[in-house]
Amino acid sequence: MDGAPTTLLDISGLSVEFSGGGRTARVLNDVALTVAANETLGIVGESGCGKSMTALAILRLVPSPPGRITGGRIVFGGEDLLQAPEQRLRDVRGHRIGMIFQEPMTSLNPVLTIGDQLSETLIKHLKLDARAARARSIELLKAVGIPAPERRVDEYPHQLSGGMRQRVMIAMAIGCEPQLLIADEPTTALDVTVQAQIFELLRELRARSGMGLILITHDMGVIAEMTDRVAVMYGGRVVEEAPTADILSAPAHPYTRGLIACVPDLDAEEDSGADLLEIAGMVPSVWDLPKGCPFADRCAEAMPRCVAEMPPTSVLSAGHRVACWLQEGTGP
Amino acid sequence: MALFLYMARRLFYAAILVIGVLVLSFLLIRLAPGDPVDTLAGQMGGMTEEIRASLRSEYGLDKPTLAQLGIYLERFASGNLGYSYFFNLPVLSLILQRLPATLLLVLTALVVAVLSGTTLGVLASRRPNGLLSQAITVVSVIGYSAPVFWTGMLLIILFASVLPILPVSGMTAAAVSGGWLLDSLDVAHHLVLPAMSLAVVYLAQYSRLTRASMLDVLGSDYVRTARAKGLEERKVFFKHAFRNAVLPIITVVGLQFGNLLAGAIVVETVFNWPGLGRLAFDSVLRRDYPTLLGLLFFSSLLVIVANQLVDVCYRLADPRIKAS
Repeated sequence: MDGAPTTLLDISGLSVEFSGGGRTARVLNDVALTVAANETLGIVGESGCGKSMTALAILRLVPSPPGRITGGRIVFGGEDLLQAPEQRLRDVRGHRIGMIFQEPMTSLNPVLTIGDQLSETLIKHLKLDARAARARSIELLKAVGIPAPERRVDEYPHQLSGGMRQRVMIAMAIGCEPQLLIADEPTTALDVTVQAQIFELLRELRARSGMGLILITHDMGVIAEMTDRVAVMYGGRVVEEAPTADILSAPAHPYTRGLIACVPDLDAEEDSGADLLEIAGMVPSVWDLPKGCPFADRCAEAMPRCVAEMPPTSVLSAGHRVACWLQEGTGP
Repeated sequence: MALFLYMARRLFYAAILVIGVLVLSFLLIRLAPGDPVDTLAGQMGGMTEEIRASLRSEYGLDKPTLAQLGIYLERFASGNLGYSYFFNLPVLSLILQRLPATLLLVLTALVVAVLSGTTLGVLASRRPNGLLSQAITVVSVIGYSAPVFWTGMLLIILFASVLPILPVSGMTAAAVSGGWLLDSLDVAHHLVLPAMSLAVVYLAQYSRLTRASMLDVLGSDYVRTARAKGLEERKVFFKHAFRNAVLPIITVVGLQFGNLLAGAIVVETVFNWPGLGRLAFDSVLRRDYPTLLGLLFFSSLLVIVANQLVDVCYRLADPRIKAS
């Protein structure tokens, strides 16, 4: 799209609907994203904005029923994953695209050993035998910084701390050396110090392997520190997308500006007694999305047009897109 | 060592439990109207007061209830369960003679109920709104609501007059003795109906429970993880989901073992199955106190053993239990 070296993943027009009780909710609406090899794309937004659903949709893991992918293309390695047969998709999952989830406490199976859960991916995708898979599992545990991996490999998830379990999840996701790693709020459930360690590990792994990384978070601080490009999501849409430096220095969408303003500034000398900023109002329910811009009712700069019509996407500069009436026609 | 201590503690509690069961049963039985001597007199077509009094003193029934309890417990401690008033045989040999028949019936019903119940439940959970799932729900509700004796009688009608291919009474055909193979086949043939009517209630419960438990587990994070790893759906179902979904089923099976024994009383009576259940039923009618108490003792023993087995199964199935 913007001449990225090797586009790994190209999502366009992705729409997901949930239906229940005779009603239909558009959870994702015309989502477009790209990720290149060796690049970290951040997806940021509040709970319910569709960022986790986007991640699940990439591997076609949207819970169904009630969910359904209703349109779009997800091109990975020259192949549209939405058209691929289930069998083909199972070769991609865990092999060429790895995924880490938010809740390390519940994402590992409580009745299977760590080694078993690591090995099964290696046996399935790399066709290793049981002994080789076990040896490789121990290597992987070592690679993600788990002490005494020879012992840990035979333990069960409940014997590990949350941070350790997330390391196991990461080991599992990178076991087959995927081209793309999707990390859905990998540190939300963890202590701050452990958070830093996990991010350090992810950065290191990415640098070493050259894989693409999608990092989903609600934390602008993490975005600033970890990502090359950012997509800001709101109400099931990508409202702004740009290189991280551009977003931080010149956010174009009022919602993005709000998110950045909400990050508490620890260095601020004056106004130290000021309250934390917040964006007034609530995320609109996916069951009841407005006709126009989903952010209109919380936006301080909203105009009558914002409520009536969905804004088109404007390109502000190379790789900087925004969907807002304020920016219409301001591009280069 | 920890395990040994654990087992020792469990045994100690089990012993207290058994004594509690005996004392309570003893007192409860005495609360029921009528006594063995009256019943005997009724069966013999009347009896003089002197004979009644001498029988009562022979059985020790003329002593105060608590004194009788003391005598019973004292004998029980030395391994003597007393004599049956009716059969004039030691209660212990009477029970041991009939125990295999009941165990065969109850265990067959249990195995059938657990295996087919969980299988149906898993199948139903694959398509929670599918035709099979709905059919299982309907059949389960019927199986669950129908009383065992009624199911049993319907089966008798069906297989005695409409489609006479299965024996509806007893455990063996009178004339058969053609080596152990033929004898076993004959018993198995007789076993079908009683085991089916006993199993159907539990089968219904287990299939519903398995379906609910599977649906719960299938929505969990670790099942999503398993799918995200690219595992085949079969593996996701059986290796990742089923092993977790089976835990509540183990619990319920253990809890219901007592109910299963109670159900056996009805089924054995309906199908004339020569086991402990029918002996219990008859002993109540005959006011055969020693036999009844012996049966209650054995039933509580069976339930305790079943619970211990469940405990072991649970420890095997869930690694988290060992830690706590």
